[in-house]
Amino acid sequence: MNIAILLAGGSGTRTEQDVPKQFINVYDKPIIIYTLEAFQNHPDIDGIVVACLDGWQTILQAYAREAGITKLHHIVKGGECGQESARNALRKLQGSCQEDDIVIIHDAVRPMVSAEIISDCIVTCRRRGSGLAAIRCQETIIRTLDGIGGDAYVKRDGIMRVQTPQAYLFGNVLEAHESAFKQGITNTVYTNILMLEMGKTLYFSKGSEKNLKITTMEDVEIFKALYRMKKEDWVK
Amino acid sequence: MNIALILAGGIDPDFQMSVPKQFVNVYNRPIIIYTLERFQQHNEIDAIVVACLDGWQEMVTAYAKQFNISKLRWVVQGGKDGQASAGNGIVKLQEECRDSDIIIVHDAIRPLVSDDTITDSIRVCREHGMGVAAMRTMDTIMRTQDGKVGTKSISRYSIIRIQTPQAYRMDRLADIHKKALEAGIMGQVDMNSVVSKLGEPVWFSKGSELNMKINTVEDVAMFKALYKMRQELEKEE
Repeated sequence: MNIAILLAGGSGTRTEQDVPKQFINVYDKPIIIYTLEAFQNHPDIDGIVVACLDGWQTILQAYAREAGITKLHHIVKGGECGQESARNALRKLQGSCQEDDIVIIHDAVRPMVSAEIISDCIVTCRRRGSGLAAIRCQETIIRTLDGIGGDAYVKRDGIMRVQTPQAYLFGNVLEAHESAFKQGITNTVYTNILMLEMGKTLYFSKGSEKNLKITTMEDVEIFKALYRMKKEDWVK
Repeated sequence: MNIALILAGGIDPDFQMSVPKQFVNVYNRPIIIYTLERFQQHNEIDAIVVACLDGWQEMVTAYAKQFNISKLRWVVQGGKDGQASAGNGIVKLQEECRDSDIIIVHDAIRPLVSDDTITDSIRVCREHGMGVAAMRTMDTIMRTQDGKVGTKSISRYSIIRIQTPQAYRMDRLADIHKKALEAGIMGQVDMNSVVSKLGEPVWFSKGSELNMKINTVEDVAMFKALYKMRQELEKEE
């Protein structure tokens, strides 16, 4: 089984809107629905769990039903941070998932995830035990402490930008989360950071510049443009 | 004076079209014209220089005239890389500019640069001698040797991604150019890389995710879509 976990627990302070990013409407659909559709339409995804910002569960359910997201099995409470959201979702899956089932953890605010990217993280996970969508940096990178000034040049080929989806074996990732929790590690935003702190080795899979995390209204604009592009393609 | 130095000297062998990216037509205008327009209509920009891919200078001059890029003063030859193109621009500008003038270096293939981004690079430059548009990454960062596997992460707050515009005081820019030649630093993608290779500090200004670089045919389509959306928004206002 391959189960997607969507992290939708964020409250969106960065976009300075009252509406959390994942619930911002684009062409009359909340962003999270576009993300859900990407997983709903993927033949290798068997089920979806959403860790949802408290207070928005009913809205999510309604829109999901409207959009025909039949694979959405559970909505659990989102946490104070990404780590807590993931942990809540993983615990919910304890009854239904086997050790070697694959969970695909993904930001609800990355709606531009392609079928290819989802496929590749699953394939890589089957082969290597994990698959993290990642890309090289195309720009020059400079080291900085404060974001105001910087000094050293960072070699681009020594780093990867790691996105989501991140695919892990259920047994491994649940254990890592529980271990971290017991040890009082509670503030890693992303599961990959947590896994690395637990000493794991992680494998990269296909990512994309277009697989943007929507954190500003400019990002929303980019998403709109991409969506319009895709629509025109389908019309052709 | 604030002078824009637009780098249009590049040719990308991986680009899927036979026309260089900066000259691909979108709604009947080459991409470079969209970029030039951003600087033409910015009220802090006094003049524009283009470092142009050899063979395309006529085209740039003609289209610039047609689309009223009246601030375009000079077209110089582009070089093999960003540093070389900028270098040719710097040599020309040294003849024409004062030490305190500000040179705003910008990629011709970033046609969506906003007024705000240009303004901020000039502002930071006035304060620190340079202002380089830069952005944090929202992704987590991991170290890798082969791009396939990793065991360590680095804080995403410890790095920043560099874009253009990159504003420099004329005397600073001329100095960097000279030092690079003396130190044998060549083939760099941009002047900012030269600065940090020289071990000197870099000062950042506001960047933007929308300030995208056109690298692929898909990016051209993205640009088209974003431009069209902007037009529609402006019509509504």
